[in-house]
Amino acid sequence: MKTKKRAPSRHAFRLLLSLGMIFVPASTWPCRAQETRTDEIERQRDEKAAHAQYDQPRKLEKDLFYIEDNHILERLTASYHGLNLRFGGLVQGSGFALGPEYNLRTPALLGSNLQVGAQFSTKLYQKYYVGWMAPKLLHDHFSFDFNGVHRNYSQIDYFGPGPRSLKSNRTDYRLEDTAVDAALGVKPVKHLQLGGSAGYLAVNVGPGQSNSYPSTDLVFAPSITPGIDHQTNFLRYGPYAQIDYLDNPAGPASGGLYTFEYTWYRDQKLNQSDFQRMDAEIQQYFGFFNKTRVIALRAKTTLTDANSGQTIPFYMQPILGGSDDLRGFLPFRFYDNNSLLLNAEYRWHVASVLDMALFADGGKVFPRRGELNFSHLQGDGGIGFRFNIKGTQFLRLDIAGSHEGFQFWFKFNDIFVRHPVGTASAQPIF
Amino acid sequence: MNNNLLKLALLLAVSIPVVAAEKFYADDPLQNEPRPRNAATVKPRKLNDYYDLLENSFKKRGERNTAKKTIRARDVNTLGEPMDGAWYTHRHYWNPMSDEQLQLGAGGKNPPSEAGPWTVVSAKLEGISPGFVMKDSKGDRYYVKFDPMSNPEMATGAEMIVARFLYALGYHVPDYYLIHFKADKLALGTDVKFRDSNGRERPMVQPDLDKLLTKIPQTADGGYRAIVSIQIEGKPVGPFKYFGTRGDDPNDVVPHEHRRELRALGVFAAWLDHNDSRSINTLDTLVQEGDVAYVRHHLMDFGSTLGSATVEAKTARFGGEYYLDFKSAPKQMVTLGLAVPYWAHARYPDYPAVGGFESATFRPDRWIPDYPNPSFVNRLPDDEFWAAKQVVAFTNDQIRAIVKVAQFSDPNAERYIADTLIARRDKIGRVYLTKVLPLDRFAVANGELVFHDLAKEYASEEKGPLHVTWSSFDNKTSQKAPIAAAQDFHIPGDDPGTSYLAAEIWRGDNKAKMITVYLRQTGAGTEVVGVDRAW
Repeated sequence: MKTKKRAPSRHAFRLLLSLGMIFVPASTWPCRAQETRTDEIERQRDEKAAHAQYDQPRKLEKDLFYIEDNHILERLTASYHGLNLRFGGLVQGSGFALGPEYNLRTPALLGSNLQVGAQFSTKLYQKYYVGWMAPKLLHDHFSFDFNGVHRNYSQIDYFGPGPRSLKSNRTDYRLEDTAVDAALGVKPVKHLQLGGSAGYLAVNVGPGQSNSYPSTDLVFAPSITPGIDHQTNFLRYGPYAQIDYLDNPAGPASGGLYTFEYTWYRDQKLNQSDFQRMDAEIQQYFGFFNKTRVIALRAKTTLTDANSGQTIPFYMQPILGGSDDLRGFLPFRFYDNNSLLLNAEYRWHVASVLDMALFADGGKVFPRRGELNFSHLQGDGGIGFRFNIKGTQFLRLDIAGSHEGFQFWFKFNDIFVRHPVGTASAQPIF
Repeated sequence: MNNNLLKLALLLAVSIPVVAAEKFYADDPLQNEPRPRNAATVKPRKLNDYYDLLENSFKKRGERNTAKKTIRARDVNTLGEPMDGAWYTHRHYWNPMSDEQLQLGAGGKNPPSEAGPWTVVSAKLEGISPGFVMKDSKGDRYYVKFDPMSNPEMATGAEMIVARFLYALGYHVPDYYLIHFKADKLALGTDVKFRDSNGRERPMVQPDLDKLLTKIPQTADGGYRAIVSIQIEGKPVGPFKYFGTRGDDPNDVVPHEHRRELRALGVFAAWLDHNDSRSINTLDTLVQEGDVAYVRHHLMDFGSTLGSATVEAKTARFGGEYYLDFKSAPKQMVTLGLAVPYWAHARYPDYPAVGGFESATFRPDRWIPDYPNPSFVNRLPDDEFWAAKQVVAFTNDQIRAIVKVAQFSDPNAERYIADTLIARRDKIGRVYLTKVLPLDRFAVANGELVFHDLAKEYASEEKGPLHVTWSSFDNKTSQKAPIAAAQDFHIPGDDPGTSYLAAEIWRGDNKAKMITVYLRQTGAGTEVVGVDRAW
């Protein structure tokens, strides 16, 4: 107990002595007199050395290393060699979709990619596909694609035929098809691609699975909606041409993309639906203020011509409405034998990762090709938010309004989505 | 008793005036950092690129200067100069380099040997910037990088030029060379593995090397142009950060955001449009000198400088806006883009070798890198002056001499880049030489305090004559006693009791931008020992 009482006194004395040393003029300190700048720096180093420790990365950095080292982002967003998880890629209205995809790329395939995958959505849409893509054969002068796909979409909307169909007549049907197509392209000069493709398509249509709307076959008779009762198989083939001088295909701000396709469809089963389909699309971009502002324009038409005594089934008719064309309307809002679509966007830079857009859409479907003009267009307008990384858009939020109400679109594609050319995409839903 | 002693101690603490350390020590001003401690235990570390982006964009790392609290550079000597050592070496401004020395840069004497093949020993063939590592017949390893197809000579030219400037400005940088070769000069080494575009690691085969060459612009003679850097001396231990210190390096005692040469790098980066001036483009190496190993800090990878964004030409955004910058977003949203940012008005020449580089819209004080750099953000007017005085010291001819190292095949491209650097240099001078009183190179000659007035030499702003007052200066108390009779730059006569003098200098009636120059008088003579700048 006694020592405990004395100890504080000694400590207090030491404290007094220390304070005295500190506040007594420095010149009277024998050791301070010899202080140099070098000593001062050495003292700092002494202190640092006494507490030196390796800088451990923070948890977030460790997680990012894990993602990077295991190429997780690439496996989610790109077609990486091996097993990947693919998001989206199904038709609009399918709900959230994802599925496994296996990519095989070996030197033995000469730079081509063999792809096998399956996707499923929250609305139970299904898609199974296999592809062999060789986009740059013989020094990038030739390309070859082979695609096989089976789709089973349980509730595609249908509102009746023609431009005057009513929103209140909403129905849905199941679209099930299987297609095999091959395309061969040649690039004779820079910016130009010519090619031809051929394929086989088998279609089946069934009752829609929506609980909210009646099935199409219960509302529309085969006389109004040809093909609702019987579906057929097609042999299809045709040429295509494309001129592409976009400055940046992933986020164009200047240049143009012009595509022309002509496809013959030959009914292989019912001999009722032989027809021809012509697709033409012009995209043009005008950038100014160092491409921080862009006017983007698109004009697109699909014209069909059924052979004498033949009809075009409704499931092969051009369709308008939805996130990629008439954005102020419901998906698949208008069906008919022909279509015309016009889009205009003014896009401007807001931040490095965000562009905005004011847009206007106009379009119509029409039964006869002679009605290809600018009268009686359905119109809408809106505003968009485009999120991008290093000039490549990865997310689009568009809000559009029309006389039928407002639509909100949350999409992972460009509005002027660049479809592959060839028969594989020369159909309304693919 | 205990309580009484404590009370006495507290009484002493409040009643005796605090005595600060001497302002100047006997060895001030230090020109070199003291000999480093042995840092052999420093371990390599990695830095995640995305983490660095997020951390610097959304967190204010390091100790920041604010309106209420400013912390001046801490790694400087009493003259305000960083010391020669692991971070920095005084070069061109202090000891003017010849044109040949400026062109040689960090080494200039160890290019790849032309004898024998160059053997590819590892490669990165995909990604935004393909390249490989090769060994020459001497066995030296070189990192090889190329130009993008769209802009021949651009990235390699920019890297050659900027490496020379940054070396002349005092930084440790790699030793870069331009090489020209034909495809048959390359030989594929044995057991070379790489990760292909599909993410698969596999042995590299000749077609892979051939494929790489198809992505590189060919020269008129059917060959290829590349930039190579010889492996930096020492064992790589990872990048340095622009804030804090390296925890396991005993010599790294000044937080990086308070290092003058790192703060000033923001001005140099603006001049050279070095938007990619971030941690991932730095490298610490453990260098052995005698029995001591210490960490030396390097800047590297200058492919995204001048008009080059490495894989393409720079767009106008570079230097004008951070990647994740939403400050101007509300204005852009509300005005529907009608409020065009100043940087979007830039006009670039049609020289593929130049890319996006210009001077008309360049604003030195508004230029920013790709994302916030704590050292750049922390810079103060005296840091900016320190940088600007070095920038303006490059003459037109010296700039043209350095630009020549890029070996542009188009003389118009060479001329344009040199002209643009000259114009940007002048803008830097006009902006930063006016923020403080731009007097420098203080010395004593013939009994007078002499100096260079950079306002007269470079800047246009020069209002009124210079005034000076002298004081004797007490080094222990930092008290000044005016010497009334002394009002010009003649050093007041010897006062037996005075060992330090302070000269306060200002221009016209602007005492806010005052410089105080401290002189030490000893038996050996009078020397300038300290410089303090106010603004």
